[in-house]
Amino acid sequence: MSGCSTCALNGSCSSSGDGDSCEGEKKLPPGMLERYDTNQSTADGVLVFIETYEEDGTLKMHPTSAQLIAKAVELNSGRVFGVIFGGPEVKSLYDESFSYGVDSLYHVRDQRLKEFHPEAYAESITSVCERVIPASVLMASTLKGAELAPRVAASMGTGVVTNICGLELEGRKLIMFKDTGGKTMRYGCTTFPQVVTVKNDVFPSPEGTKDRKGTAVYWHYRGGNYKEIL
Amino acid sequence: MEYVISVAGDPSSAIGSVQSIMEDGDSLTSVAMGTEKLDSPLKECISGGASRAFRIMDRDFMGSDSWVLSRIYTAFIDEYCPERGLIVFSGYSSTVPMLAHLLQVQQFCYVTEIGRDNEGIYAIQNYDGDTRKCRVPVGSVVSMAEDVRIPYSKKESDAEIEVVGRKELKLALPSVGIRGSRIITLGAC
Repeated sequence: MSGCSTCALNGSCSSSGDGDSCEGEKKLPPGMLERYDTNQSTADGVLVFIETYEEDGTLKMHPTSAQLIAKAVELNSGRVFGVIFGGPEVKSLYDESFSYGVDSLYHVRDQRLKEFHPEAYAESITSVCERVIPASVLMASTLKGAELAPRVAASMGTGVVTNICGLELEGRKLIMFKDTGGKTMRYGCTTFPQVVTVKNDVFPSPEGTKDRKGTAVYWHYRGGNYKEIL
Repeated sequence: MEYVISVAGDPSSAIGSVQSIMEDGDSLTSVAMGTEKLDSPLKECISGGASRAFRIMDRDFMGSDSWVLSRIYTAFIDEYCPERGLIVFSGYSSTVPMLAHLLQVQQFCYVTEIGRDNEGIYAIQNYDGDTRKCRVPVGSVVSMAEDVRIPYSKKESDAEIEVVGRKELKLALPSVGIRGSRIITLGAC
């Protein structure tokens, strides 16, 4: 099919077919192309993996996850999404998540995911990311977070910075601080979403806002990538 | 079945673990990524029965982040160990889960013990004192916990270390090093 030789509307502009140029770009107001980068990502907001643990038979949120939710709110980079795994018992953590600042909580409701299955967790987080397109994904630097984050990053073809000790935002880009060999280095990620794991107690633990509301969404894990736990 | 040991630090626990599950006819391959300093642990793998040893090294790989490193490992595994049974890392790094994803296999991190029973291979994982025993499917990527010491027995092998680079792994120049990396260093504070 012959299209217009100069504009991006290959095959759909009025001059396509006869091989002439529509001079499409020249018809735009002066400076518009320079002002608007139409090729950039539309990723926005922060997604936090909410890690849980059981203590005396009670399900609790990992303190670093709470700190990350509060940090996500402080970054003010759009909506704050949370992802949490497990059966109906996870409902007890909805209000706590909303009180720290989660706007939309994706509950991957599957009794088997009460146990840590990194493959299924990563596939679920990736599918939520495909829905909400966050600019950043934050996880705690726990053993589980450190194992999960690189798999999530790889599944989305993006990079991961682990064990960071500070975060700043420039536009939608994160500046990540990490202690390496006695020095604090600054890192950036060239792709979205930017996946990071954050050390415990780098950010203050939030108080929580009582009666703050959010939206809970049941998410169904459609894969079958469970481990056989003996 | 071919077992692959990927060496970063002390490989003894990885060698000991693999020896405990190897059966007649199985083989062991060792690989490390980096400078000549890694020849020493690779020689330890050879003394533990590795019939092949590779060191992945190329100036083009300098500045690679974990995403690129895992892609380099994937290229190596596809090229040199297509029939692998298990890939065992001597320690944990971000490369382990990324490699597992790229190979589309399960990952088992913080492993304190690998064994074999009537049903196949199993691994015991330790998450900060919370231990569990899992069945390990063939092809999985395993990383040993740092604090375990599993002894291994010396075996005869006359393997020599082969150095492989970007061209042998058929990787395009823009896909490796700083150019292929997703994470960039912005400088020191």
